[in-house]
Amino acid sequence: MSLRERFGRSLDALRDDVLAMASLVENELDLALRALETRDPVLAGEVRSLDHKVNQARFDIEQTCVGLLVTQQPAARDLRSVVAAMNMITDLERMGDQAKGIATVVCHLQRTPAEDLPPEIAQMGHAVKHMLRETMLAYAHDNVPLARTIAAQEEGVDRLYTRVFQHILKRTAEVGEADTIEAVYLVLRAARELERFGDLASNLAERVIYMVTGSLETLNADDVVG
Amino acid sequence: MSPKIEIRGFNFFYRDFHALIDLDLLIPRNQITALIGPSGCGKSTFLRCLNRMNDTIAGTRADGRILLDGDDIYAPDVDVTGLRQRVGMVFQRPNPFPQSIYDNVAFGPRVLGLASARSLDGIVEESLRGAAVWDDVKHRLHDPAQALNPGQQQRLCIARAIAVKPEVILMDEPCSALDPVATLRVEDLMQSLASDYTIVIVTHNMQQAARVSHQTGFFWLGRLVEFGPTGALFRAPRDPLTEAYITGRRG
Repeated sequence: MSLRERFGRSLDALRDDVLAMASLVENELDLALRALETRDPVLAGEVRSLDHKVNQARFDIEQTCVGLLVTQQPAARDLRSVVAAMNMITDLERMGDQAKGIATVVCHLQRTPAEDLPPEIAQMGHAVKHMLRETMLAYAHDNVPLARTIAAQEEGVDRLYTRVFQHILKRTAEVGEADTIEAVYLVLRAARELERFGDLASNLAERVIYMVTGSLETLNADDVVG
Repeated sequence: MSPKIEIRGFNFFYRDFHALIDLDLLIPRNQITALIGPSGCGKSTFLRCLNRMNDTIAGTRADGRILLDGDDIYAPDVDVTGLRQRVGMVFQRPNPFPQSIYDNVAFGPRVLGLASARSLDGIVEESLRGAAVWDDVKHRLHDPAQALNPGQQQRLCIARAIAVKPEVILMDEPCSALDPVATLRVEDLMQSLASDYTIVIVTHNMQQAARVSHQTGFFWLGRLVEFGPTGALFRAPRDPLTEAYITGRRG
């Protein structure tokens, strides 16, 4: 195998590693959403241990990227693939942190009165998971048109978040007890984590576009209220 | 700012072989322009056309125009010696004359009669300083130039080139015979010279082109495939052939 072929295989392996890390993050989000729905502190604990694996994957992949940069001195598409991977693993690691944030909310909710989750929370969870999947599909297949659809999906998540925010405002006006207010705000915090998760998925899509086309585009919709 | 060198519809032939095909490009003044491409692609031939070094090869022919500050260097009345004073050259292997360090640098000014207007000693010192080799040689100016190490010899050759006050310096793989430390010194030197001279460098070392140049041109089979700002060309080349070459898929 020529050195060039070997380098090509290293880039393929790098992409596989990033996709595997994204799967870990998706599992972490799944667990966090189930933990939130069931208020299950054990599941929340599993989210935390999964987050360690995500963090470790980020460092391992970063080492691989640095190794490729120093030994191959890549240019053009090769360079953009490595740079995109380095940026994507940082965003994926943060997405893991958002999932961990939801697990933290679950732990805090153990000591507050029960507060019903607005249906938009589950809808947001479903939507951001879909965003991550589609982005990774776009990454795996160099699919720029698919990556560009992520912006519209993010706008949908932002609209759901705005509805949760309005619901929380209403609930805050209704309830008087400090414990209940804390529960209401914890729900808002979970929604905020999901909204950020969507933002970061959008960043990933930008990296896919950069990797394939070489142009840097902003997909993020305007900031949402709250 | 107007370009230093303007190349319009330029073609070059070695007898029947069409070595350079329909070249059109503008070389900006006081910048470093790198030319890359596989062996035999025409980049060195093109470099040698910029001061008509190829005229010495029998059976060559050029058409189209190369304008140096608007003057056609292939016009019939051009004084080729004067052209080569304006457009100097540094070669792949350091090639000091078998003379002293001093005489190497003084050679051009003596031949061209530049020393009458200014002190020859002054020109030699200024040129050696300009080529960042003065401190290495100031106490042994009358030692043989061949006693210097290769990196020093190459900087001496650059001093010899700038001693005749050229406007453009052509460099044909100037670091390919040098070790990494000497290479970096020559690259530093190119950067500092670019404020006073227009530099065109042919290099096989793409990292060198990426490090030192402002513009890069990619040659392939006698054609200029792509020419543009160095950063953009190495990050996101426009032409698939450039992409294939700089990523090592084709060469």
